Amino acid sequence: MEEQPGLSDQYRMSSPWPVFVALGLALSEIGVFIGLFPVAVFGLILFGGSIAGILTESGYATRPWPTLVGVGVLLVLLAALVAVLQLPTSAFTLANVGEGPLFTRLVAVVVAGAVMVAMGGAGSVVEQTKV
Amino acid sequence: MAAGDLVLTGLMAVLLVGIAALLTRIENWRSYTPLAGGGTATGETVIHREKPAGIVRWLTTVDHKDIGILYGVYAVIAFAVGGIMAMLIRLQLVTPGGALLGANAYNSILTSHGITMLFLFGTPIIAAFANYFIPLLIGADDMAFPRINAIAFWLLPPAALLIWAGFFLAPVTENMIEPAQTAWTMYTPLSVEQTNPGVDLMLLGLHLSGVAATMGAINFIATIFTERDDDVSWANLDIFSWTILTQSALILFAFPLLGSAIVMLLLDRNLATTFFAVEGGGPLLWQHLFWFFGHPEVYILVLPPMGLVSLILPKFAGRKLFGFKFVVYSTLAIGVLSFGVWAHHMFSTGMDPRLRASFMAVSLAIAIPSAVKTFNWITTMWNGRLRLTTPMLFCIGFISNFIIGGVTGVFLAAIPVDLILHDTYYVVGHFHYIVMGAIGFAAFAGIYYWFPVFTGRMYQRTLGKAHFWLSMVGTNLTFFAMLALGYLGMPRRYATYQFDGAIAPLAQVETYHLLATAGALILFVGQLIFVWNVVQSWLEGPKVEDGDPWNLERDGMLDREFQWFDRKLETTVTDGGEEEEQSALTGARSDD
Amino acid sequence: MALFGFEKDTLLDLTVNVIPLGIILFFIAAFAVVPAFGTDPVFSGLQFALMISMFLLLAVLTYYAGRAIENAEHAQESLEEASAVNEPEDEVAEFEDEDAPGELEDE
Ligand code: HEM
Ligand SMILES: [Cu+2]
Repeated sequence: MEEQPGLSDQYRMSSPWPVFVALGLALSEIGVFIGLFPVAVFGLILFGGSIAGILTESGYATRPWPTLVGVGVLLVLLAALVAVLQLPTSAFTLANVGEGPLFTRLVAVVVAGAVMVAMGGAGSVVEQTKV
Repeated sequence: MAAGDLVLTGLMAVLLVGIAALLTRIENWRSYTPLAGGGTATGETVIHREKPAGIVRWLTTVDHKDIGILYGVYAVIAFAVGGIMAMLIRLQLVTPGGALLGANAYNSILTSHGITMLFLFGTPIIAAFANYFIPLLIGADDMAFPRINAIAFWLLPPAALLIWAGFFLAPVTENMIEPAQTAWTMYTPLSVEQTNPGVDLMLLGLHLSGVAATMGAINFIATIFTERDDDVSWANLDIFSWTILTQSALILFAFPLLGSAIVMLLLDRNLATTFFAVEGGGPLLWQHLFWFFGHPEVYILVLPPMGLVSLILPKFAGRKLFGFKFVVYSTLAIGVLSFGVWAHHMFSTGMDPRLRASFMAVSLAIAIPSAVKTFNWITTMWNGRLRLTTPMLFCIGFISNFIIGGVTGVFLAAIPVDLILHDTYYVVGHFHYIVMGAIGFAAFAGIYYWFPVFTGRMYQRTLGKAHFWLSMVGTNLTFFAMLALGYLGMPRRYATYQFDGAIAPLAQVETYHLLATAGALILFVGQLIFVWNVVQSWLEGPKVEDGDPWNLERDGMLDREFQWFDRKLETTVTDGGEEEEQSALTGARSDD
Repeated sequence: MALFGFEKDTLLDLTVNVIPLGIILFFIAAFAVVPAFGTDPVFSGLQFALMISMFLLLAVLTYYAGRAIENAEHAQESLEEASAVNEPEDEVAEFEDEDAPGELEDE
């Protein structure tokens, strides 16, 4: 324990990110499980974005963009994996979006992942850093 | 549908843009440097070295003490909500035909009462104490992962909203979305068959609260293992930290399992999987998974309160905890054995009698460590110099209620007894003696004992004592009547009891229900006094000027958290007598 | 007396968990001697697996916890011996005040 009394009160003790990580996770779960396409997409983006933010803020990453791209890729891969394992190839049609309950949910996850990759990519380019 | 989707999309987009805008306003993105944390007090980083004022402070805090208070406020609100639900249940049952509610409303409220009390009050109130005091007790600067700590807390408000969602949404959706009526155990096939989306929302809320509990548990384990001060070792770790450590280990094994089972249930409900269908895993699979989580959960809830009592009781008995090591080892024993007893909740499901017998054996063995603790508490008080302060009264009440709750539990663990009493009010009486009479009481003991530390003020003693006596009398009246109802054969979970006299003698049943309701009213008045006392004393109570308000120094029992408090008081005085918030605001000017 | 390499004091502390271990052992023996419900490879297997696994897990955890605490105590003792005086820290408070145990004193 610090020997100087009151020292702990001077540490950096606030961060705006935790609330949004939590909110993002909650919205993603609602969106994906209840099957609300927009909620799933925006929830996942908020979740991924806040993770990128909090990792950067706490010094685990120098910039948020690579994390954002990473989370996005991960989501796309995960959704693709589930789709390949669980669905017949005949289900992979544009018409099936909004129809097949599982397929629609997976598309939502892929869309969210793609948006994150795009956002991360754009951010890096704008900032002139490498992904 | 399409229009609805459009509206939702718009709403979500506005939300996201709003959040991004808000973040850019309050956060300086460019200021993030790899040096975060150790930076010097110059330039932009100064902004980060202090807590902002007002509501923003509470929304952004990662300080374990603030998060502890957030957990505490949250838990007390949940306790109020769950308590009002309990009052509705008790008022309903004053007449055999039901006084207030229809069967559906009754089932909804019963379900929400159970889940609210266990997941939104029980776990968070323990987390409140643990967050505030574990780092102080073990001499750590903060939790091992302060940000994860904050995330874990912020998952809880959405969890509560989801769990209660049916109540808010039923009126606006013309009962398309209703509160869940599954009971807290969510037994299949019922919970799969109820098409009401309110059940999905509740399951998601439970899932989030489970994620939060797991994150918290990882944090506590890491903190207790790695952040202890140099002179805190396994040999002198305080008892509350031991129980939190054990509890966290239980959470780590139990909650992810609940989470997976809930996801399976959600998939069964929404995507036509067959985990719990007759042609799949079968309905009993749910019961096994649920209770494999559920029994450890009851110890998750009771171990830290046992730790609180073990910590507080000696302070007012004027002697050290008798057999400290016994309490530590028996805590660990309970932790392990709690995973080998789950099927004592399923004795009447027709499972194999050999298996049933082995679950009985382990259930009887687990009673020993609990009994050992009870004897230790009693022996600690024996010939002690007792000071019957409010926290002490609640500790003694805890022991008394825990004995009744524990002994009735041992009876239930005996298969022949259980086959008769299963699903009667006896079971309800048993676990309420523990969840209200013991866990609730220990929480009150903790709140009163540490009230000076987290508010800097003293509560009103007379009101505290009134709170204790009303709670003690109310608890025993209500739940003893339930034990009697169980012996009479009154089955649990019914909105009415106009049954045939062959099931239970109606006249006596009615009398005991009346007694239980009378007890509940007494309890309710007690809790009103509690809330009044806490709020008013927090705002206006006399400031505590002595770092040792309980006079523990004289017995050499001033623990680290009070030493910290004492140092804090001294600095505040030299700072000019301002409150913590104030000094924190100007904290950046200080020299380090 | 150095059962499992523990000191006598630690062993005494550990007896608290020997009792539940004993109860489980008793039931294992009882069910083995009197299989009241007959034997069946699957269910008798599960029956004993549950009890034996609980027995082993509890025994192992108790052993390691005892080890950790004893080692920590040794480390502390050697520290204290190296430093100045040390007085026995236990059971002193008990004899301090013999005044009325039930006194209704409130701070
Ligand atoms: C002394 C050790 C204990 C034993 C041997 C024991 C035994 C039992 C048994 C056999 C049942 C099942 C009764 C039935 O449904 O037929 C039961 C139910 C229950 N017990 Fe305990 N118990 C003990 C301690 C506890 C503790 C410490 C808690 C709470 C923190 C607790 C909470 C519950 C709950 C919530 C239920 C009801 C579950 C339900 O059906 O909704 N028990 N107990
Ligand atoms: Cu149980």
